[in-house]
Amino acid sequence: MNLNLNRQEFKSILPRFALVAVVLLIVGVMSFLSPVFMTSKNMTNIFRQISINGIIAVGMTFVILLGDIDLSVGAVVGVVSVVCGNLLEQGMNWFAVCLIALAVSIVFGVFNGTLVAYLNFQPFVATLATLTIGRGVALAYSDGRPYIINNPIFKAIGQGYVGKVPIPVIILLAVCVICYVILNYTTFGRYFFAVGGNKNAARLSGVKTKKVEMSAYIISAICACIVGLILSARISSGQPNAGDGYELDAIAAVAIGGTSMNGGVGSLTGTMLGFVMIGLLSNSMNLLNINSFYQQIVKGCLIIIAVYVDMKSKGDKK
Amino acid sequence: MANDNYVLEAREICKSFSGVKVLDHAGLTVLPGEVHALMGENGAGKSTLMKIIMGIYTKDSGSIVMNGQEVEFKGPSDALYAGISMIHQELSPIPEMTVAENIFLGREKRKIKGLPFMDRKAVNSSTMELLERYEMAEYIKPTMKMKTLNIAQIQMVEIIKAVSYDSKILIMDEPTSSLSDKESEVLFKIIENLRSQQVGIIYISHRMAEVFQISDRISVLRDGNFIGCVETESASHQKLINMMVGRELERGYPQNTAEKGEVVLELKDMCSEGVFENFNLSVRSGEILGLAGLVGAGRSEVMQALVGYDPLDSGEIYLEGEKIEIHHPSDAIKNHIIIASEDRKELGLVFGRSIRENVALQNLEQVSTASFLNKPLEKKLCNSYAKEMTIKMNSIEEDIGSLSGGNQQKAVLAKSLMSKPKVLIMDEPTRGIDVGAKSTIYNIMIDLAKQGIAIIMISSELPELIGMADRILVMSGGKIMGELTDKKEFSQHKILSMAFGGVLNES
Amino acid sequence: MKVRRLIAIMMICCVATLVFAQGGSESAGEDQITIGFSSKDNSDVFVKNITDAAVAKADELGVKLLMADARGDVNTQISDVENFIVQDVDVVIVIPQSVEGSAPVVSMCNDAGIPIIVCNGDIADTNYTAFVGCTDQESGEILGTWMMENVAEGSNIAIIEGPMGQSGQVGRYNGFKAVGMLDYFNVLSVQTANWKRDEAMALAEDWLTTYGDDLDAIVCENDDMGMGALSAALAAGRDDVVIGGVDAIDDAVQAVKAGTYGISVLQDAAGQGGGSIEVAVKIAKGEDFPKDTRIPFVGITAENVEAYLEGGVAAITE
Repeated sequence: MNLNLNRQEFKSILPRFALVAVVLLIVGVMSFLSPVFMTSKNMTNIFRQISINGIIAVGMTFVILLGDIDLSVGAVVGVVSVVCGNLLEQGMNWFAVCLIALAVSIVFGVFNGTLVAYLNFQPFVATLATLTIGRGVALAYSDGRPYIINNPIFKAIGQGYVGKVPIPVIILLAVCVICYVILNYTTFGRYFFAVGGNKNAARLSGVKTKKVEMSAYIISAICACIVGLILSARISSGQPNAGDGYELDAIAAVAIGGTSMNGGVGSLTGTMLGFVMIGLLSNSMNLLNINSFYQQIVKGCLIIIAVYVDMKSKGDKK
Repeated sequence: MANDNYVLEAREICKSFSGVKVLDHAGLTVLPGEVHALMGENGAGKSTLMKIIMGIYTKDSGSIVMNGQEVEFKGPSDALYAGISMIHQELSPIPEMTVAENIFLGREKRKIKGLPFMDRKAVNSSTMELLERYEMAEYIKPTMKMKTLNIAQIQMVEIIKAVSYDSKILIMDEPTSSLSDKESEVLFKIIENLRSQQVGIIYISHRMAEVFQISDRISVLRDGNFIGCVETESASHQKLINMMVGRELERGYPQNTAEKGEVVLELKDMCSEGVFENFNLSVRSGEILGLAGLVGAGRSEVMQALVGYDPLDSGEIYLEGEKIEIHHPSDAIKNHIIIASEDRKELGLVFGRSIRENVALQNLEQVSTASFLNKPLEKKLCNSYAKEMTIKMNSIEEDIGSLSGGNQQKAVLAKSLMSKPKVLIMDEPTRGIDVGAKSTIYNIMIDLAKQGIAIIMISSELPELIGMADRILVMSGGKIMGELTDKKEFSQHKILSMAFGGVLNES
Repeated sequence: MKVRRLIAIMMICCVATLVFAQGGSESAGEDQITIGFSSKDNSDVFVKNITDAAVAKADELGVKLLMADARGDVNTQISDVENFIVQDVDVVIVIPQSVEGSAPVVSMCNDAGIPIIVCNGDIADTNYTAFVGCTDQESGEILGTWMMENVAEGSNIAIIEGPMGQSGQVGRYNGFKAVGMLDYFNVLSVQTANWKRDEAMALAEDWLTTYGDDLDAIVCENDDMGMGALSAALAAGRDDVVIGGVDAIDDAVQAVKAGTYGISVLQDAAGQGGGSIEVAVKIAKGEDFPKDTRIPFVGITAENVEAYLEGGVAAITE
């Protein structure tokens, strides 16, 4: 790390240090407490498990950076799952199925974006409606029944490996890298921070704010689509209820990562640390055989602590 | 120093932020029924001192004495109940509530004690009483909704709210910065009334004229130090400026010696229903065109419509003789028509992001290839523009919100200049900034004019407009009321009489 | 600096949580049998009864039981089983969340060479080591048969289902079909109430308004929903509507005793939870084990409700 950081820069990365420290701490304590924790098999498991929440959280980061929220991602996962299940059952080529699923998810993204950016709906209300519609579409489309997926290539998306690395983990890494580059190294990415920080000022500076908002919802929906594909492949079936409640886990990861719900402030690295931390913690608690009811309490407390540290470190500036 | 008459005495206050001394043994005294002006350049520590008095910040050392007793406020509400209130530069009313509800927010009178039923009648009548006592009844009614009020009226509500807490000390931070001259006069009358009722007023302002008009004493802070306190009667402009900047500052405005070239921008018949109509304008390269008018005359609106921010119903825009279409601010930027907005917080800057990101925001294509940012180039370019504008900063990565008003304004200019403007619209370029920064900005304007940029300057400060502009258009009610083309015939009287639609015959 | 102190507090909290948790779980001897139990949703009373019985039985037999709760999510269930495999447990027991979606856990365990016992519900992949429980179809058959015996042929009935695609819903509905109940009656409507009492109540209220006196019976796939339908019927003054369900929860049994509720099909939760542990221990010890243990369903009706209340399950299963 560059040691010539000035105070300002140091303060901005301090909360992330806290997260890194907690992550390392969990790893340290767990490797002492559980003999299997540090095994490569368990690590593989952890990363495969976090890929689901991780990918959605990455997409959600774009939306939350604008100060918006996307509650519909879980429902999009469900729709994608049944669409894939049905088309694969009918023997369609796996790649074509993925493209169709992508198109379907983009429709949802555009729908959200239109409501929020062009019709000025509040994001919470608009995406809540989309969530309800999406879940209904998934149930109606499948008539409530799950589809069985037998296509071996498709199943590999969720169950396969490249070398020793599970394919979902590779997809997660790819999504993270692509989104990181978009957000930090392109003009387009910069607009998200500007629009989230001050929509009016961004517009006066020539930023097409509506398009930025629209694309945030599309990115979020595409990430949900990817998760829908992985999940369906992982459970070898297209389930209308798939992805139920995933939006909240993703929002939790983003919040822990220090992205402000008011928009304008945040980072993808924070989100990544956020979902890694949630994943590590829930794996640890499972390995230690902690009652699931208490696990939820711990997770909630974690969100409060993380956000509090974040607020404090920012508040110290003034 | 000991004087038992003081209602408030701040002694030897020190305060540091992250190791940087902001206040160094600064102090202030206020007598009952006195208007005490507090002056100093931006960053001199005025706001910090006030926030310490209000209990918003904690002081490192020193003491605050009220009526001979040392006090320690934990927050603004403590201060409020002790009798100190502050009218902030940015007012924050609750739009759906009435005037009376706003004033008694949090201490609503109940119909029956302990039950949450508000006694509207009682609240309204006590509000009315206050309004009458402080001679504001002709401007506002207790039952008006806050959202229907203009800034001057909202300010009055804030003042009434303050005195309703029986305030002995009222702190006003740049109260006239968004008021028209006429509204300011009303405010001064109110201040006069407050003074007669033994309220001590700390009056922060950059406007020399009004300070001389209303204050009894003037204290000056510079770089966190208390420089001195003078009786207004014995003070002079030059003396105060010397105290503030610590050096002799030439008076007056720099001369625009730039050569006027071809017409750069021409606007024909611009209309926006209910906002402005038949707006025509042309401006030459190297020319500074002043746009005068009262607040609400439609000056900012027409300029924001020009750059595509606000809707435009009809009208034609010609840039260097060619007709262009502007539907979105990005079109204006592409055509190098740049606006530096008056409202830095709402429209000019993205607070919470760095100076670099703000300066680069509308110029990202200059520092990117195929949408991929060249960060070293971005840093280099932004740094050079920021340096050119003499922004005082630790680093270009600093949050823009942490800069003083003058430096924020310079950042807005740096951002505008980076877009290589052909036409630069400067909306209230010196609002809320100090004398030193003002003269820097005037000099920058002249430099830009010399580079052949056409400048349209909107300003509510007539002396500034008269001093800087080569030509002045006066607007009222969304229409152009007249044009002054000869610098010799510029006068406040002429401009004001046009601005009031010719109704006013003497100023 | 404040932030530093906060980080310290955060770290201490994490360490404390993990260490305490470790202290709570008993340390295992080298040769102690470890069983991983993957429950579908412990917030469901009936499922909780099974897992409680399993915990009690494990204590009794002196084996170590790791309990994981999928909280109603298929993906979590798969992750939980992955964690068990990493911990190299001796036997895995799973209550499937979804017939199709949970199926991959069977092949995962087989690949890892760990015996897997399926408890309580159906699963699409039948290559498991052993089954303990009862098929949901059987409960549907018992309920359907009773209805056919007690309600006149051709009567108008409505059916309230569990969440679409869950094994309980699929199995019980298939049970209705198998005994011919769907043809025997005139089925007015089939809707899901997601195992929820309040949703079922709203549904029944709507039906009672729509069909009025034409509605003769409401068949519910569980008792919680049955209780909801019963409240709606009684509120509408329709004590003649015949209502039945599955699970034998306490208030359903009381309602049977009071004569307002037709039948509650008893599923022996304790028998299934304890039974699966017994089988698991046999497998781990290398002893002979029953490949298919059926814990029988039995209908609690006006005839045997007194006996059940006095003598428990044993009194009515013999």
